[in-house]
Amino acid sequence: MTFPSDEHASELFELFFESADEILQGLNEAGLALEEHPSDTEQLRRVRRAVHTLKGDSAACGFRQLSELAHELEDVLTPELAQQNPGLIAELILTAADTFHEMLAAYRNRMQPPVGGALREHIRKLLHKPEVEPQIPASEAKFEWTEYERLMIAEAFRSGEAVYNVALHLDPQAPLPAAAFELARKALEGAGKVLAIRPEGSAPAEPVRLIEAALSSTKPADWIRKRCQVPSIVLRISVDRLPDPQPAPRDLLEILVESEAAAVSAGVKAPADAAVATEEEIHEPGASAGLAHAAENTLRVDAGRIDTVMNLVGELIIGKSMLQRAIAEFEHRYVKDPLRVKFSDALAFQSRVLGELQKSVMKIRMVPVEQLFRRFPRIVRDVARLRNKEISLEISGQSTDLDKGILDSLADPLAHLVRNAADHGIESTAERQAAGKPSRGTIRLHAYHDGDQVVIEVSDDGHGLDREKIVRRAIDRGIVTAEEAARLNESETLQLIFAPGLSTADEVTEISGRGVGLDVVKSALESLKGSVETESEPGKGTAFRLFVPLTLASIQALLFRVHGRLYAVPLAAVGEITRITNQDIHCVDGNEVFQLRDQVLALVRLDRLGTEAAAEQENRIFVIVIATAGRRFGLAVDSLMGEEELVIKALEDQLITSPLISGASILGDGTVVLILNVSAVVSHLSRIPAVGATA
Amino acid sequence: MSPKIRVLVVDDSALMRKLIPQILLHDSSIEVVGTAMDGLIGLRKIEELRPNVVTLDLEMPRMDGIQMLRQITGKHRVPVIVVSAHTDAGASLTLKALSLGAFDFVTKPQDAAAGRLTPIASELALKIKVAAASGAPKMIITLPSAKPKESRGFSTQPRWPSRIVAIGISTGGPNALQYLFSQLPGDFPGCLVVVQHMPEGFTEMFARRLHESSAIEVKEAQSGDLLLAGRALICPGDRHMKVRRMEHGDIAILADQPRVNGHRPSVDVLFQSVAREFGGKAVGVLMTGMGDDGADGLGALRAAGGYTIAQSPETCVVDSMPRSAIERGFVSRVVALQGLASILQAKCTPDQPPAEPVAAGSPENDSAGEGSVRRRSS
Repeated sequence: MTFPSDEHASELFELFFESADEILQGLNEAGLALEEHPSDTEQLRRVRRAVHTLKGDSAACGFRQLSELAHELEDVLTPELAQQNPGLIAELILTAADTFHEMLAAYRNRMQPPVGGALREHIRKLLHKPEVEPQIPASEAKFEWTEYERLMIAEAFRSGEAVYNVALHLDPQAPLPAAAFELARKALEGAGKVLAIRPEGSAPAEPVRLIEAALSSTKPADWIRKRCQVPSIVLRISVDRLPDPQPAPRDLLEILVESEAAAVSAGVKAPADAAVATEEEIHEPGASAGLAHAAENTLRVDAGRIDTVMNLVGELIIGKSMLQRAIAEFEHRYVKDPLRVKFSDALAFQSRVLGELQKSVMKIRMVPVEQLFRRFPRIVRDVARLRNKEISLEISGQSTDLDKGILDSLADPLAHLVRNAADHGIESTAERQAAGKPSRGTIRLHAYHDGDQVVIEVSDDGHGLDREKIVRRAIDRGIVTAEEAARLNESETLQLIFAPGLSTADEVTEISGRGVGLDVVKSALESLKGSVETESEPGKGTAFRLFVPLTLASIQALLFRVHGRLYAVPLAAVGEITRITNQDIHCVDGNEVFQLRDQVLALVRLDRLGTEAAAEQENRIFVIVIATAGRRFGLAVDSLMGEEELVIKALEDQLITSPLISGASILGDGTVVLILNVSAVVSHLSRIPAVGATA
Repeated sequence: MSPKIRVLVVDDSALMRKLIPQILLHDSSIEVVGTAMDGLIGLRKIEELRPNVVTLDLEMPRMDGIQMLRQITGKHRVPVIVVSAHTDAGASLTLKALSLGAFDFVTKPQDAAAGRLTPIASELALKIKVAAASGAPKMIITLPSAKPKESRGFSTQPRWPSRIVAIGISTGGPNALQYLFSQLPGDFPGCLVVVQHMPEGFTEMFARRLHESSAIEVKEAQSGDLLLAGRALICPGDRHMKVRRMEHGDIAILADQPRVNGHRPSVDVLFQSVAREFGGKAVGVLMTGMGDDGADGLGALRAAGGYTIAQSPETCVVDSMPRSAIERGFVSRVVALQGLASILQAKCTPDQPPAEPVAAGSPENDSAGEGSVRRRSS
């Protein structure tokens, strides 16, 4: 029987890593909770059970080091130890979460896991054990004789001999260790009658450093010591005469047996208590019942499988529009044919079901942002500790759903923003007090739906962004020229912080200064077809708003044509649609602008973005007003083609190289639509002045 | 084809809920009909799914295994196999579960990757089948609560036993032994040497529990331990136990030779050694358990002049061990669990040599001429 098969094994590993991650998240949360309320024994029990599960699971997968470490941890997570060390327990659990995380990462990559020294250190501290174990436990003489040997010792006493416990410490450097052992043993045998000896046998497998023996002899201890001296082999000799049991009412054997019995009965107590504790564990708050119930009906599915279904649904949608077109043509051709009605009924029915299907599949991919938000309390706490600040984290809207893939890609940018806020945004306690603010800073994480988009806000009540500093840096680094800088409005200035190579933090810290700036956040969002905007008020704080689409699989889009080519923009980015004439267009610094009510907006022509060629202009043109990431601009188009739901197809990297295009879709008639990357157009726009100046 | 054995897996670890059904997949006579993540859901699913056997993890949130077990044995009457952690606390809980009526236990699967699941898989499958066949627990033994025992210091004159009683026992053993030992007086004249099939790490706790609930002294054997009257030595898990006569007294010796009959400790190893060293001074008892470990050893013991007893099949949780010895004709007497203590007492009491005829091969074959297995020279 070959078992388990590779497939089963890898499936098990997947499951293991997934549930282990959940356990670690639980540890982090419990650690933070215990930091607030160290005496919460319920919480501690939960941790213990989680660690217990991790131990069993990792043993099942053969991850022995992890299993052993979890076992060690489980053993010290007792209410008694927690009570004695209220300060240490939270730290212990958080360290454990980190250590396990590292070990899991190593196992995932099939690498040797770290030893988890920090965690072991904590465990030792909790047990009040000395830092370093005594170096030579192996050479410590214990004289643990078996019952039979003890009986022989008692017999020797009875026959009037003295009995000695003799320990010979051998020189580990002695050449030919086997021969050295043999010589030492011979010397012992010459000193008296050997009643018991360790190690037993004549040819021990490993070099011997210590020989223990019980010798009976009529000679005094000194004589025995002399007999046992073997130069350059025996380093040290101890000879202890055992007390003669005869005159005493209780003999040695009796004392030995009694102390053993005492040890046994003391040992019995602990497990009995443990059993009682587990019985108490049953009384859990009923509140978790619903949750546990829900979890029981949960099915774990590989995300890839859902993607496959999603893709197929996408194909179906394309199929639907093919059908739609065919039927439209049919209707056009056979106006009076009664089949027309049947066709359109069937089509309507099919579209409805298809719509439901698509929604349901999308829902499978949806997870609450809470999954992501859960990580941040730990991050904020760690930064606050390191920087000696007081920071509280407020989370709201955590039940907002978001596509799992998008959520995963948001993890790093969000963590970056949260770290930044804690590290640089929030001032030190002293600064805050001087500014008349509460000494405890606050970071807020807020998620909400906004039409087809999800918005995640990271805000702090720190000192805000220093605009002058940003502009100075940007000029220093050659990101903008001084005159361009002078023209920038407020929100444009703030957008500068997303430029590569700009960091306003005075000191590079180990927390947020890893050489990555906010440009990483921005590019991550662009690849998600999302955007980011900033708002900051000096002295009051900073807010970052991340906009991401609900899903990456399909979008509601506005279709339009420029120069005969079909394009689309996400409907979410469309502010309004207007028509202007050539007279409405003005030129400022070589850039076209137009006035929309009381606002002056830049006018973008797709045919001019990439090339210099200017086409013949019609007198009246459509303008789509795009509003995104705090900027509004107009997009000049030749004709509008209407709204359509587009199934986004990933573009082969080489196929379309322009960053201005984020994806493509195929319509029912096979026409390819290019989807405009709005935020890339915006950033391109901010470079237009430079282009215009040089042209 | 007979209907499949319906199994419910109760475990709070998602991994185990996947792994256990998977390792049972290979046995076509077993079907895992459901899983549950805690005791409450488990009880509901027992109602719903009517499984033949339940595998049960003991440490779970909300309603743990012990609590659930109480409900099951009181109400649902489904045999339960405990899936136990490899720890002292796990051992203690497991023994408690057994005393509450759990059918048997296995240790949690380990090293799925290294392909070491096969033995665990077949062990679990076998135990499930036997459990399904034997049905709900027949007898839950309730014991008087342990009385604190005076620690037994012995004098320079050890109390040598009149007889060596070798016991071999497996599934159903913990409860049967606890019952038997609780019936023996503190001055029991014989010495008991016991092989209970149990993994490493469980026997020490097991011996402690027995020690607490019995008047005799019970200890996990160490090499060199003396065979004394009123004492029971339990062979540690994953070792073999033998006996040896020495100049100053008789001792137990632990050995690490390979598994015998698939077991370490093996009953046969103990019985053969007792037969060799003590022969007619020995009593062999083969008790509840699956398989046939110990049957041949009992035959050797009988051939060497020892008195051999099999626990009566109807008082066994699983009777195949004593039954195979009975079928092979190796048993002097078949005794119900309830009568075992008095038979042993009678056999070991030196003043009253049994009146059975002394004839090799006959059902009663006892040459009880002397008062003690030891002839003390002094």
